Amino acid sequence: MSQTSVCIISSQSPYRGQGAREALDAALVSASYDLPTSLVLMGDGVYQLLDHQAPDQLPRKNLLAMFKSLELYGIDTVYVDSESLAERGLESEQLLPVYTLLEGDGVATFLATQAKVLNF
Amino acid sequence: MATLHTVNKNGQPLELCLRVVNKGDSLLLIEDGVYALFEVPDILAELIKDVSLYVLEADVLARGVSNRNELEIELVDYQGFVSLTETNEKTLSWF
Amino acid sequence: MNYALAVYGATGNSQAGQTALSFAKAVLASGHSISRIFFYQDGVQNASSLSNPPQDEVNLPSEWQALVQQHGIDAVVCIAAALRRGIVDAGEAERYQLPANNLAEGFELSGLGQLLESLIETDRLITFGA
Repeated sequence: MSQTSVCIISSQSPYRGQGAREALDAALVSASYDLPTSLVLMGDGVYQLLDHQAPDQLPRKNLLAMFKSLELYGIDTVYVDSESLAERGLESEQLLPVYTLLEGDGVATFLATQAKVLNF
Repeated sequence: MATLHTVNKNGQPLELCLRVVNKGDSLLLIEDGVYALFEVPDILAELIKDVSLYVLEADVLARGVSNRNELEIELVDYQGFVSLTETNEKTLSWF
Repeated sequence: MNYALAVYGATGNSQAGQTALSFAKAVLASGHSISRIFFYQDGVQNASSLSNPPQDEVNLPSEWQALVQQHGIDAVVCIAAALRRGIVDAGEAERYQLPANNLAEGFELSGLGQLLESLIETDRLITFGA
């Protein structure tokens, strides 16, 4: 495959169904093909990065563990939409510090540059 | 890069779409997204100034929403939906 | 143009399959080609051979089957998503010693790589979410 970059948007909360997990899988597969891959968390997707998750209570696999190893898999950047945080009363310190904050219309500007986007 | 956005319901999908839609983009309301004609006409009236707005005819007719299309939003059939995906370089689906 | 479609919704709680099917027919009627339809997340239910709604309702898996066979479209069902949701072909049924298989003819199980390949290599990938 060519060196086009891929952007994955994930806007689902982590444990309602498999949406968040399967979006992350798509990002990992993209990176495994050596495609430059970025992940954008917005809307309820920002809940995926909340620190101190204990999904063994459900039980479910820990998504946060996957986020901790994203760099190993070759995911270049995880972007978080700051407005989505603000709407939910979240402070950026409450999230696992593996992301780059996109402020204002940063998400709109970034997505406008991306040719190949998968939305989940 | 001109983008077609599809929105298939109100709430988060519409909100996220509104956050990233750029001037000159197109927005097509499909499925339950067509209820936006009832639920958020003010937002649509504002949006249509900068964005080409469409609703999918089958979904509008199926739901009995047709008589509320007073904003002069263009109805498209599935062929029209395909045309929008041709003219826009990419399509972002919000669901 | 060459299109690919991604379908993420099941018939029980989403219109995605129905919308995608109507869209696919319109793509072909417009003179474009569709190289692949990828079923992911709950969309894998679109490939069940055991779907059997009342006579006066649309049987989506049968409709997909007819379309992909008539036009030689690659109909790919994500294997991981399918196994999670109880859609298996004969090979997987044997591998995991399951009592039955239900992947409709005309569909094949494969990996998520096929979705990424379609995203990169086709002119347009259109997603139909749940």
